[in-house]
Amino acid sequence: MEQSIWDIILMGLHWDAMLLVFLGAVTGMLVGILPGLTATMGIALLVSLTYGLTVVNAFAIMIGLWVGSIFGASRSAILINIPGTPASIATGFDGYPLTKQGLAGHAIGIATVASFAGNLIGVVVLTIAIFPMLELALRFGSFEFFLLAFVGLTMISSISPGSFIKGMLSGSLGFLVAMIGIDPMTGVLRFTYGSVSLTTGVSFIPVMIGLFGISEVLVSIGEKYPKLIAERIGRVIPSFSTIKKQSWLMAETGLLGSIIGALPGVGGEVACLMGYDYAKRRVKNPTRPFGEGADEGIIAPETANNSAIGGAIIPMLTLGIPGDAVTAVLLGAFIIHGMEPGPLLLVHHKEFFYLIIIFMLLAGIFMLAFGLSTVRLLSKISVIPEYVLMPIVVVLCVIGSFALQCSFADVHIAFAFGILGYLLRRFGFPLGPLVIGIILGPIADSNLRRSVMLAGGDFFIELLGRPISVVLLIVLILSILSTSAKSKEGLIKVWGLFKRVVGKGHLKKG
Amino acid sequence: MERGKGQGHRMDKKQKREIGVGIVFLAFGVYTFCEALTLKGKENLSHSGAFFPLIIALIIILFSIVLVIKPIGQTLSREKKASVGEEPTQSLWKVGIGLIILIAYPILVPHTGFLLTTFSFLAVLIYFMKRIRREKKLERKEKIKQILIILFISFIVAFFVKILFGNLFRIPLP
Repeated sequence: MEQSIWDIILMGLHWDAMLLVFLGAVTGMLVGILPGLTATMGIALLVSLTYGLTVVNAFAIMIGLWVGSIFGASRSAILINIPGTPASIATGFDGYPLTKQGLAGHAIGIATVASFAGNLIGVVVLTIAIFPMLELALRFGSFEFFLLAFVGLTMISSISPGSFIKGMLSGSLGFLVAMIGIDPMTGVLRFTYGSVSLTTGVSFIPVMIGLFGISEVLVSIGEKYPKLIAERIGRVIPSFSTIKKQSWLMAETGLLGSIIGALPGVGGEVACLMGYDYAKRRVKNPTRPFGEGADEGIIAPETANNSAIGGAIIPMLTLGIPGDAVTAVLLGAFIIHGMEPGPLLLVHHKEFFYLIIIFMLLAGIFMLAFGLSTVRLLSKISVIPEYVLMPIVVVLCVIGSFALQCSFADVHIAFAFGILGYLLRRFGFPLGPLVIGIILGPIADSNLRRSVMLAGGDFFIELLGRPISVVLLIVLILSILSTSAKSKEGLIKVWGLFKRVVGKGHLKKG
Repeated sequence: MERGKGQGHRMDKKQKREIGVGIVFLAFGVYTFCEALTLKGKENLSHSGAFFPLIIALIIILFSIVLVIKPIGQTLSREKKASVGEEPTQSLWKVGIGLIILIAYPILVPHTGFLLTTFSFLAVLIYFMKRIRREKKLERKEKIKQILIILFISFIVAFFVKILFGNLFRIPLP
């Protein structure tokens, strides 16, 4: 029986769900503030601790943590010039200069308000876009899902740090990891090497814990963090006139962030940088020059990275395709809690979408209130030395991976992937495509073979006869071409020519 | 671009590293390809479990060849900027010792129990990480004080984790 919207609201506002959102948001904020702990690592560690919870409560705490960590990451970027998570990479460009001028409170205040605005815009975009997107997703067949999996991989590879080639190699490794275990279509054992524990495949959570937790600890052991500076906090809550003056910029960068977040393979990190870039181009008279403490240089990236959360949920819920590493981990959580990600998830569990909206809004409100009222306390947490923090992370990694099946095999997997993750990072390979590859591997594998079977001998004819497939194929080719500088120049020329032709057309009509 | 004295077509360290990584991936791709071929049963290749791993192995081989060729091409065309990763600033011996401490932890837990192993692990790793970051030599008195602080932090954290996860959240601990 379908639940009424009122029932769903009551479920979302139930005290235990609200408490878990709050707990998740506060924990997330701490995760975000502490350099080295990322949203992905936090959620990966949390997933294994949510078995005992209902699926609604599990997602309440995870959504809270996600929103909180992106929210909190700006703190360390502003206070010590180390972004708490990659999604706040641009916030320190202008936030840290303000701290050096004794205006850390002002920077944190506007960052908090901008984050809240971004959260709201993300929710609005998510609400408006999700059902039209679902309609489209329901028309997807095996051809489209196969292509979409590759589009997601090439897009994240093309924007990942390092080169596109390394991104693709990392993603291919992820695809291979996903192939370990019994092939669901033929029952053949793949890459198990006689190990019984590998027959069911490699558990996703220990892999995540290893890649993002253990590898981070190893990186931290090998390098030095910069010295911290003593800062003065100053006034925190921004004036109404400041917020009013920046409201258009928030709206614009919020929309930009949501759209970027909705693209498969692109997440808060890119949204943050593009938001900053947009503000630099758009604002002619910033409060201070960019790079020296401009308010706009904090507001734009913080609005964009928070609104990207709402955008990233769109492909995750409608297509079962992760937008970035965080949504990849969340998709793993869906599977662990017995839900099949993909278009049918929303058809059968529409209430789930409304609950996510409620949790996002609640997390945003908690963050605004908590974030503004505890600036002085939380600024002290950001200076916990990493030589104390990282050993604690290892203990949490061991607990998180063991709790999955009470098995040391999972702990060993976490450590093996931790070492692999460290080596990949050391040689400049991004980890995002690897994670996306693990999630998308089964989708790409089964849908490719299904498509080949359906098409008989005419795979390419069948593929080119489907409009959505053709669009996806073009996107796939463009995302590959856009990675090389020469191709980029070519694309810009083609785009310029197109604009000129269209422009002339308009003139002629006029 | 003018060539530097005695530089010729010599590769820098980064480029050599890229080629090395490329060769490792190439070998891995070839190995995966051969391994995937053994997965093909009696059915049509495109319907078998070998199909997708074969495609992925080919992608790995293709991209690893590009990874190997790119630095060579850059050297031959005397391009100054290589599109390779950052020069690693990581100290290998520190990571090596850290890794040994890390691996010892899950190995020892089943034998010595969670609380004692966690306490010892935290104390050792915190001490190690603090020591490698130390800039000046400490006096004996300061050293002892620091060790006592580390032992105190390790005990509090181990105890707190045990109470929070084991007793309060009832999560099975190793």
